[in-house]
Amino acid sequence: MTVPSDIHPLLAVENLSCAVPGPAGAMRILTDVSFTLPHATALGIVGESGAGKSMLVKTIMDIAPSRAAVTGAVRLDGTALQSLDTRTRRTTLGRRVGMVFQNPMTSLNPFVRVGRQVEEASRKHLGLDRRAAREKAIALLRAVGIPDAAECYHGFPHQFSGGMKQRIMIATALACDPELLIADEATTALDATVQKDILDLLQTLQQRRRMSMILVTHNLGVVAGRTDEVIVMYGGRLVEHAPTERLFASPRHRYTAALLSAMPRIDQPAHTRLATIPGQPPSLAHPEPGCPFAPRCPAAIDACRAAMPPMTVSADGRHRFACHVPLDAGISGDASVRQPEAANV
Amino acid sequence: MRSAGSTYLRAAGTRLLAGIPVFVLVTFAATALSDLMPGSAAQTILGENATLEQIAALNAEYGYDRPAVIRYLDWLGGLARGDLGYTLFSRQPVAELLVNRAAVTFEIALLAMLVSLLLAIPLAMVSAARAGGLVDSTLSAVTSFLLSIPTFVSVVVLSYVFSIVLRWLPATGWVSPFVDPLGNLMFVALPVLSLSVHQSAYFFRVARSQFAATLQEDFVLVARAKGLSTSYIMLRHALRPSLPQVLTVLGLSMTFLLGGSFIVESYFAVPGIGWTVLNAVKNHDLPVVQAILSLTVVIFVVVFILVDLGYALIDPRVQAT
Repeated sequence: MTVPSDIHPLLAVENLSCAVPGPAGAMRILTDVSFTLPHATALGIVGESGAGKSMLVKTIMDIAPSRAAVTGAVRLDGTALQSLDTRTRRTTLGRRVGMVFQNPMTSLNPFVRVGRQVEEASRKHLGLDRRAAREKAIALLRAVGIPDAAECYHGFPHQFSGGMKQRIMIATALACDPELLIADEATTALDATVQKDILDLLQTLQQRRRMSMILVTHNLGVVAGRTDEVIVMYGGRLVEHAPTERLFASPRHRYTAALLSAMPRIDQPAHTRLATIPGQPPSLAHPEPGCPFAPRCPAAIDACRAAMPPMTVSADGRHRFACHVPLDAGISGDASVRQPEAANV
Repeated sequence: MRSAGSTYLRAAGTRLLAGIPVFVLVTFAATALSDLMPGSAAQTILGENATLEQIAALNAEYGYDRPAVIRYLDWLGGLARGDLGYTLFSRQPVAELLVNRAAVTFEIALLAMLVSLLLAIPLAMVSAARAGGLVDSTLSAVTSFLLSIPTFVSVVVLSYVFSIVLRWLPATGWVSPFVDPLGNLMFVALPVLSLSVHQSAYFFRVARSQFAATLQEDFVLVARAKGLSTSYIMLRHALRPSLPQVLTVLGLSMTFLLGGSFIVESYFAVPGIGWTVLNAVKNHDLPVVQAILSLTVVIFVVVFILVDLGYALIDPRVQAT
């Protein structure tokens, strides 16, 4: 077990790009994504469909499709994963990073008993014998809130509901006591009440186990109150990265502000029409020069269409955004709150 | 809760009952169709120069002058007593003949099935694990070549290579495994090989595409994210979900092989079902044709029952009913 160092962040992603060959030329799924994630920190990654969030975490986990051309570096606790041989890299990731996927109905192998799916990683990576692995698996199943953990251990996935399956998946991801848990749209396929239970469970586990967590979601409501930091992705790029409260209170990127205003709010009168962002997400096959959001952005100027805005970092270094015409930091907090109402008029 | 064993027995029982109408239909059709065949058994036995009176006398002796329904009921009655009649020429009990010939065909069929599966499944796994790779494209080319060779060509090529050029294996003939086990294996080697060429290529293609499909499943991605090795994923996660598809074609092939391959058995002069039925049809040896047809129906019904039960054994979501 590596001792967590304070020198290195748990995860450092450096200039990560990923292109997949498509019918109309290479699709740039990810472009120059860089960020760091400290130990014991919860990070949300939000963006609409096709923004590259899911591909980002798959690339980090080295499970992107083999035809994807990946450049850039991913460091786990200072170790550049690309420098390891494939076997060591996969083993390292499997042991130190747990991942929960979007669809619990298809993520568990219907032909394999639950117990073995939960314990196989710990048997392989931690070298646990059958008995120790079983005890650990049952303890994990209990920890994720499965009432009859011992019976569940011997059962098959089809005997459980969607919510229960996702709990089993979480137990599976925790098998090797990972330092990082990645939840890729982990609650999207579940109904609303179950969603909340699973999110609360993830949050509790993250805090109790002092691990870091990445919550990938298209739903800003999911990251609010559950993460320390949020990354906003658009068109395969990281467009804004800020502490969660700050992002909600004073977004600097125009896209973030538009996303926030498209959220339903409880303080609005009933039947208020939701704000939407006009237009379509950008084409990844034929990216236009300039900011990918420029064609849909109400504040776009010529510079936005001409060149990709560089990453601007706030004075304290905690807020980064890539926008030529950022919302003002001072009053934008109020602006972002007011904006949905303005859009409703 | 009923025990798993009794559930399977009950499932097998209901399917056997459902097979009875099929059995009756096919065997009755065999009796009735013999009236439509050109020539007759009596004609064949008595030769070209037989008089009509002689033929009528012989038909009366064997009971072939009665209507098909009566003959059929008579045959059914015999079947119930385990008496399938006698062959028309050697006057041998048909039941005994059937058991001997079926044993030969079954040995060849089961060995061919075993060889094909042992070849095809591992190769399909290796191929699918590196889909589009060198091994995959080579095997895909080789198997489509093998599949396109008709059996009557492959038997000639194989016997030329192994018994004429290399002189490793006898070209034709048969010896019982109880008399000479090693000699038996030498004699079945070429028939088994001939059947396996086609079967293994066929199984390979089905299994390879099924493995490739299974590898696209989310749970395989999950297994990869767990850092499990490719060989572990193939064996513990991809193999079992891919088997139902393989089992389906296995069942179809099995019925085909157990029915006896006419070409392979005739070419290598192996006294199996295929060879026997071919001769019986030529000679109008009705009791033999009837018996072999009934056996074929039973094989079909039993194999499909086994396949159905196999699904339930492989897939925990399938209940045997």
